Amino acid sequence: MLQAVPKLQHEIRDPIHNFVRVTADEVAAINSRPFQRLRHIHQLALTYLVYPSATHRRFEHSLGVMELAGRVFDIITDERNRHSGVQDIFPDRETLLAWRKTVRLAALFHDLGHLPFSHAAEEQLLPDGKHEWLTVEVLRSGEMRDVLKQMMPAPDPDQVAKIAIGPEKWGKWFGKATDFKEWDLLMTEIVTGDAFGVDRIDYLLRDSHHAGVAYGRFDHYRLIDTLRILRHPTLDRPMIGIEKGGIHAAEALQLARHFMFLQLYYHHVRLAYDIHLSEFMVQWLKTYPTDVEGHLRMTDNEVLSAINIAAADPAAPGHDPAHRIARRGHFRKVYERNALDQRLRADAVECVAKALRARFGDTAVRDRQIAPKQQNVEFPILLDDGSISTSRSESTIYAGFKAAAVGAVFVDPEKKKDAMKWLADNKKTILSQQMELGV
Amino acid sequence: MNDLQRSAIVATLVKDCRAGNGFCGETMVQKSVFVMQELLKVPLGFDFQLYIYGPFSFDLQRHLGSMMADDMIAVQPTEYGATFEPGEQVGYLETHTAKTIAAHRNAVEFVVRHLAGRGVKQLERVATALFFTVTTDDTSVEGRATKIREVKPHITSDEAQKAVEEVDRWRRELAA
Repeated sequence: MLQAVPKLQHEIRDPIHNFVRVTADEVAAINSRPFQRLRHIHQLALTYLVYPSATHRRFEHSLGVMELAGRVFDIITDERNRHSGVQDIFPDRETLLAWRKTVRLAALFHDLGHLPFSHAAEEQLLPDGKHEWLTVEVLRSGEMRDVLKQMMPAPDPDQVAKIAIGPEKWGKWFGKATDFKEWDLLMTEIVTGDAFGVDRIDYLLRDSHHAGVAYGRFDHYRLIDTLRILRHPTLDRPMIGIEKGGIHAAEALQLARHFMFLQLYYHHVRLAYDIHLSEFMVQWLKTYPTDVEGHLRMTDNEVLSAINIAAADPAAPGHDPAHRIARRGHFRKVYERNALDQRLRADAVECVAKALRARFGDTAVRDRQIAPKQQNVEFPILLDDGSISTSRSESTIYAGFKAAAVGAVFVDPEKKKDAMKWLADNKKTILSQQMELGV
Repeated sequence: MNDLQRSAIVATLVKDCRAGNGFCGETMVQKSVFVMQELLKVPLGFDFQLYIYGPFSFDLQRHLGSMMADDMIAVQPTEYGATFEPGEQVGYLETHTAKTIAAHRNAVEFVVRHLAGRGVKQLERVATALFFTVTTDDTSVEGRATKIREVKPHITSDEAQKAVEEVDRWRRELAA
């Protein structure tokens, strides 16, 4: 008698990676309610109001991150790629298989805690302002525990959570950063690492594709092929680095990040809409439901619906920002951070914002400043002679790289013309005013 | 303290550390800021937790990134690793936050005097010893040394004890 053979591997089509390959266990994880919710969370918030095709969701991004996490894990643990200086850190084959599953699940679930519209209002609405806290709460909840328990072997939800959020956030809310042993740090580096984390690799490629810009593209195939676990020459600990042949792909990633930061993620119109969205959510919601059930019920759909309703009702909480979002009445940029003014005074953006508020009123002016996201990234590089150097020593891009900060001041569109003229006439005076000296 | 004042203290630390070509890597900056904040009570406000090489602040790591973007510090590769050095805008800081720098000059000199020239492992030991000195009620040398070894088993009992004793000497020096 013929019997159906259960399919052990499934494929999901993806415009970035061609296929995302998943196991039966992972299908169960993907079908869970917390994960399906990500179908309704925009990856880039209201960026589609600037780049109309940037409507992709955290759902497909998370699938992509899982796919890449598996690829990276396979490359760096491959016996042919193990450097002599780190041979002793690798666990046995069975343990490695379990870790592979944990890392892929961590990659899949890393965004479960995202609020509607991603980062827009998390600073104001969440304790300590970070969604990772909610990611862990969801992973520890009944439904997710059941999903993980039924896997063979069953991963530990806290282990998955640790790898998903990294040592800083874990140490801040749930345990200690020192809970991460040497191998744990390598595993979380695969997902969240500053140099080569797959979260970043996927979103740069995916966001670039959907927005229709070239900036985020780079040779990630080559980069991943050259990833290796190497012992840092001066810090003397194993980290994810590259073979020398991958340095240009790594440099391209660094530059991609830089350009996407400036051109897409912090586009001035996007920043303006972020401000209005954040104000709307705070006025409409007052507080965000941080119980798991309340969180799972909140998606972009509820927020968009509320925006449409509030935009049409002047008496509704959040009417003004809702109206600006729905009717394209966003505040307009009248000043942005620039190198020349920064040389005159480090607080140039705050200074200009303060002056404009004094002249045009608090309600007509907004400002936003974003500190550089890129950390002091350094990683080991395996040279052709077998010795290990570092990114700053081997790459002029990394040696001289300076991350960009972004800042802008916006005004009510009705005041834009007057504000620009006033600023042109008074900027020099504003920036040369006596700074308050430190105490 | 506001961000500019924090930058002023850190930039002064880097400048003093680099005077005479001393090495000033991220570990040195992290541990020096920790000592200034926790022992010398400079109100820098960075959030520290125990990490790979002892007390570490991800806030401070981000702040260093901001300082680089503003040319207050720069990074230079050397044979010992990457060192920070004063950036082009250090003069700007010295002009506009002179009072802040003057108020905490002694703290900067203290940490440079006691920590400059030390390797990562030495910095780890003494900073972790200070961490347990300020976060636990156990005042005994043995008790704190035991705590160090519980989280850092690669540190020997002798090394842990010496680190705790050194921290206690610093405290006596400050009290005198």
